[in-house]
Amino acid sequence: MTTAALPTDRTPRRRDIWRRIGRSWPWYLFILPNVIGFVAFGLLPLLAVLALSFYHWYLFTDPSFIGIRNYVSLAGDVGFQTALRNTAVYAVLTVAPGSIIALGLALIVNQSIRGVTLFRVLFFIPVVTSITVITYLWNWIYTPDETGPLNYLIHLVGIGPQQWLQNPTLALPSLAAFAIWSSAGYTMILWLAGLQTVPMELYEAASVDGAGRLRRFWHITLPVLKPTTIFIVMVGTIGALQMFGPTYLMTGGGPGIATTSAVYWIYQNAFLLFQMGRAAAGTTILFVIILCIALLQRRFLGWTDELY
Amino acid sequence: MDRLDKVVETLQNMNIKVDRRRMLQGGMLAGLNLAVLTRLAMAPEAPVEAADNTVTMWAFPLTANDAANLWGPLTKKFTAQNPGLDIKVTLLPWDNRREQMLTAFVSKSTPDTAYLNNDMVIPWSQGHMLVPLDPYFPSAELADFPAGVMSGCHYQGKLMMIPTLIGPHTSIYNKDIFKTIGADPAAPPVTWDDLYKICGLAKKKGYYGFEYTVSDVESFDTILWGAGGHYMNAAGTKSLLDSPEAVAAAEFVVKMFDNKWVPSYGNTLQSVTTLPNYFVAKKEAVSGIYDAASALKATQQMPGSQLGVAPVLKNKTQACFGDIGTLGIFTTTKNADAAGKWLQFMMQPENQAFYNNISGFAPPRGAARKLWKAPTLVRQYADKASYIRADRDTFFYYAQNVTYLGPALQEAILHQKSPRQAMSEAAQGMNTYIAQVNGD
Repeated sequence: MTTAALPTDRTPRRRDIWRRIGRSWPWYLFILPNVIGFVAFGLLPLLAVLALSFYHWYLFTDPSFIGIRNYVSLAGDVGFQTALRNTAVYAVLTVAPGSIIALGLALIVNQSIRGVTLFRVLFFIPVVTSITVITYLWNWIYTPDETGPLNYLIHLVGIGPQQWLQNPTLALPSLAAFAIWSSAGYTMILWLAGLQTVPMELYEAASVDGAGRLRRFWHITLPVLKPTTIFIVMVGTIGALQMFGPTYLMTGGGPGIATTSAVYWIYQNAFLLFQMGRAAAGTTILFVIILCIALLQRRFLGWTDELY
Repeated sequence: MDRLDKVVETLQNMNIKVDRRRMLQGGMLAGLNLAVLTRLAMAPEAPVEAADNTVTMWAFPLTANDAANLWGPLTKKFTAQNPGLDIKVTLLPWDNRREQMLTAFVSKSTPDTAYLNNDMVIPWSQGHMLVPLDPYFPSAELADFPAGVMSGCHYQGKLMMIPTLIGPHTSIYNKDIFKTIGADPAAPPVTWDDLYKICGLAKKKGYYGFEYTVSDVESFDTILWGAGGHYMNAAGTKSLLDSPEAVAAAEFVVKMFDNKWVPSYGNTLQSVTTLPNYFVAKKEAVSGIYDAASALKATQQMPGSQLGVAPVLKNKTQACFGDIGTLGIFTTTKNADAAGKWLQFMMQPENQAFYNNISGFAPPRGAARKLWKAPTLVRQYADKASYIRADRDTFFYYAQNVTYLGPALQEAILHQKSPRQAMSEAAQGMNTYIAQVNGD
């Protein structure tokens, strides 16, 4: 009886791997810079944050291992939970409305009309302008008394002055409106790129068959835009969940903690309170949440590799 | 056929126009790029490993052009006096300077020396971030500095920072508006009651009486200390934000907003610099609690207006926040002695006087004060230096208070919580934080 040699010894396999690497080393050389960059600035910090989340580390003292105590502490931390809730509300307020508004803008600037390039540029200006500059502008727009431009406009329709950033009910929607305005140009460009891939023949054929504008949009444009839609929704959601700039520059997390986002909470804990372990635990939780949402979106929005 | 030829052939099969020569050229270029990038990545940050004859310093802007107005003349003079030594001053934004220095320290990329504030003295000394300065400054020289200010620069008996400027915070007031509302322009408010009276008169004539911004914790100092309160107990182990005095301070703030004596935009945690200034717009009788530089800037923006410096506001006691700008040497330095020479130079009376002529603050050193040339308004500010408080409240967790105090005050102003409840929760937040810091 003969017995076939089982591949229990891993050495030959390893040799195979090294042989294959040896054969195709130029290809590995091509991807090496990116791999180095990813490992140095992506993977290692990620692992460091994960490790740090199990430590008590007040920046001025030595870190000490405390197991999962940071996570247990965050589970009962009202401030962190509020920050997560604010972040979720902000994502809901910005992603879908922002995408729809940007699609509207893209449909407008996709027309063959005189001066369309000017409008494209105008809509894109906020994207290339410093966030500090545009927050100054919006702080002025949101001036809480009758001298504020927005309050002046609502005064014309008989509504009294509102404290846009000082009122806990209005503050988060006000930040969301600012975010939609400031990112609309970028999202518009993505939609525009998608729109320009729609074959004109489809529209012509549909027109011949008597389809109106709305039906053409619904049955041709939207299906063709599916990959763009998925990209915009996923990237938009991830961006919204990482919201920091508007809070930092416009409200400082207030009034109370009404606009404190998860990332702002992490920033406060890391760089104002110097509690690196807690901040790392918060970061890890946020990372897991974003990962889960992205995976769910990928599944339910019908992502397939054939889309790209 | 060697491996490279195989790669070329594969690429050519993929319709990529490439030949052996181009591949070699590309490879060499990529190698060169990689080498340059690797070298750059390994290149030391200037502040860390500058040549031993160069002292690096981080400073924060005090004028529109510090490089030309301030550091240019000072570094030139130092280099002339100390041949072979050089100073490299890097100007950074004020915002988040503590975080910048902390993260730089952790990554060992701090400069040799930097402008520091004395609220950093305890945590940074505990973190072994600062070099004791006693060897560089004989006690006879230190005796020329105000004792109160110097006590705020020591840790466990060692001098950790040396003061280069001081600046009390108080309000300025608009005498023209005082006349318009029927108040005596020669009698600025001293007590809370005086201020209430002015605010009432101002409101009747359509002005705001005062300015208060929740994000400006330094202004709350004057109110809290004026009420006789403290942020921390004497040992720095417990928050006193729930004390009756602290609640009274919160009630003062709420009263200001309730009566619309202050602009409503002040109920914010955003940076003061992004907010409109109603005092400059001549809509306020008494300004916010400013430093001298901000007050001077306001006077320059209001040509023709009659302005005066108001006393430090008090209820039970009279005390204010004061900038105590200092210089310190980081323990990461490799040039401690050269940095020490630079600090000695900066403390020489004529240099400290020059520094403060430009900065708009006051020189802490007595001999420098005699050489100091400053506008009347800045001198009036400097006269209030004795009210500066530098003690447990500014030593322990000072910068952290705002994280809990700010939201609490906002909730009280919005009547979501009573001042007592809001301050109690702020104290609870601080105490939980202190316990966490101590690993409890």
